Amino acid sequence: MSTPLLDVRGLRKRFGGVMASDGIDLQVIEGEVHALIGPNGAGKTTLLAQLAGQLRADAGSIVFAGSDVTRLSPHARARQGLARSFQITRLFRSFDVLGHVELAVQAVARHARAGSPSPARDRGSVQAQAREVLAEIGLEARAAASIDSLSHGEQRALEVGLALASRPRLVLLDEPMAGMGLDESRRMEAIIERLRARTTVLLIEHDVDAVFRLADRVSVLVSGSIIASGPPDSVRQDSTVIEAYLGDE
Amino acid sequence: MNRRVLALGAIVLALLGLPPLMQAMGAGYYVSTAGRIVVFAIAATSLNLVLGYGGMVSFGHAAFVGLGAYATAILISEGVAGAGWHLLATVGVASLAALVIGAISLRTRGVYFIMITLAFGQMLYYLANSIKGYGGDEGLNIRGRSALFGLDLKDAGTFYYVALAVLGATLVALQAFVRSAFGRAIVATRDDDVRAEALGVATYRYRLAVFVAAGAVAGVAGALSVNQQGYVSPALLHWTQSGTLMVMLILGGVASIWGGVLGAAVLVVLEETLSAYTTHWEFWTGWVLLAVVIFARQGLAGLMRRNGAR
Repeated sequence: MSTPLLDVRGLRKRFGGVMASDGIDLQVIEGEVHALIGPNGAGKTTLLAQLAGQLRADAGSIVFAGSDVTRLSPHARARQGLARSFQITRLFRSFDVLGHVELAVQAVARHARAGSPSPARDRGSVQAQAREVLAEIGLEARAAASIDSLSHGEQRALEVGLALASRPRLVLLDEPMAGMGLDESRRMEAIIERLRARTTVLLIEHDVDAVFRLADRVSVLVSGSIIASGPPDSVRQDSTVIEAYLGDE
Repeated sequence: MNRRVLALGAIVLALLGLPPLMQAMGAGYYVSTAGRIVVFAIAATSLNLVLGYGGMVSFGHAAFVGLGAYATAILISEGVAGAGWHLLATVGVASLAALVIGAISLRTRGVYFIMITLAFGQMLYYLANSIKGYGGDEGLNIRGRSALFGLDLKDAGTFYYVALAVLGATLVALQAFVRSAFGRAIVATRDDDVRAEALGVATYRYRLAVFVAAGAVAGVAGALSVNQQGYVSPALLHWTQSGTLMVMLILGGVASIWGGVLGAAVLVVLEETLSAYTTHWEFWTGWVLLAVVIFARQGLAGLMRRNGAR
C-alpha cells in the first residue's frame, strides 16, 4: 500500500462527558472516493471539522500529503489543498454565484503550492477557472444569480463547488445530498463521480445506497471509533457493522 | 453609468462651490459647520470600513480619532509645525494602538468584541484625562496649526478644502478596496467567517489589517479636528463619540460608500437646526434614527439607491 494522502492516528476529541472522537485511525489513499458512514451522533461531522481545522483535536495527529497539519489553522490547511464543504449550507449573502467561486479561487491563488497547475492570479484567469467550476457543478447558467434565488439543490451544488474551486488535493464533503430530492441527489452523485478523475474525496453521506455506488472504500464510525474500513462489499457483510449500523436500516 | 458619472460630477462641483456660495449668501459662519461635517464624514467612513464592510462592531472607534488629535496637538504645542510630521505621528500612534487593541479584541466575537473595544476606548479616554502635562481633563489649547504648503488652516474655507481633499482620497481608497480581492475577502468574512476561513482566507490577519487601516484614517480625522478647533480634549475619545459615529453610519447607510458622508451631514445639520429650537435636540434625532432603522434598513444611501433605480 502506498503512503496515504491523509493519515489520521489516535484522534481524540471530548465534549464534556462525550467522547466524540475516541482514538480514530483513518487512512485516505490518493485518488479514491472514501465514504464515512455511521449512525447519527457517531461523530462524523466532528471528525471532519478536526480534519479541516474548525475544531482542534485533544490528542492524536493528522498528516496530510506528508506534513503534519494537526495544529494548523483552517485557512492554512485549505492553502495546502485540503478543502471541505459544510452539512448546513454556508454561503455569502452579498455575493452572486460567480462571485462565490471567484472568491474561493482567489483565496488560495496567491498561496498556491509550488508546482501546482497554473495558479490563477490575474482577474481573467480567476474568472475562467471560476466558470469552469460552475460548469462542473451545473450552475453556469446561474452565474449572476443571487443566493436567495437558488433552489436548495443549487445551493448545495454551490456549497460543493466552493470546496472544489481551489482545485484541492483532498475534498471533504459533509452530506452533500442532505435534504435533496431524487433528481438532485442523482445530479450530485454525478458531480462526485466526475471528481474521481482528478481529486481525492472523503465523503460523509447518509444515503447508504449512494455510498455503496460511489465509494472505493468505506469506513464505519460508531460512537467515536472506526469499527470497520474496507471495500464496500466487505464492509456490507461485516457482522459488527450490520449489528451496529446497517442492521437497523 | 453615464448618469452616475454626471451625478458624481454634480456632487463634487456642489461641494467645491459651497464656501463661496455660503459667503455670498451671508452665511459664512456655516463654512466651519461644513468643515465639521467633512471631518465627521472621514471618521464615520473609517468606521464604515471596520463596521460596514468588515462586520466588526467596534465601540471604541473614537479613541483612534482622539489619539490622532492628541498626537498632532502635542507636536504643535511642542513647536513641531510640519504637517508631514503630524501625519506621521498621527498615523503611527493611531495604527499602533489599533494593532494592539485589534490583535486582542479580534480573538473575540459578537457582544464580547463590542465590549472589549468599548473597554479599550474608555481606557484611552481615562489616559487622556490623566496626562496633566497636556491639559488633563481640561483639554489642550493650541495656538498654531499644521504647516501645510503655506496654507492658513485657521481660515474656515481653506480648512474645508483641505479636509474635503482628505475625504475624497478616503472615499476613492475605500471604493478601490471594496472592489479588490482583499476587500471581497473581507466582505465574505463578514458574511460568514467560518466559511471564508475554510476557503483559505486568513480571516484573523485580514480583519486585523482592516482594523489598523481604519484606526489610522480615524486618527487623520482627529488631526484635522485639532486644526479646525484649535483644541483637543478627552471628550473626543469618550465612548459617546464612538456612539455618534455609529449613529451617523446607521443613518447614512452601513456598507455603502457614501454612508458615512450622508450620515455625518444629516446628523450635524439636524443638530444645528434643532438646537436652535430646543436643548433636547438629541430626543428628536433619536426619532429620526428610529425611522431610518425601521423604514430604511440600508440607511439614506440605500433609500437614494432605490429611488435612483426607479
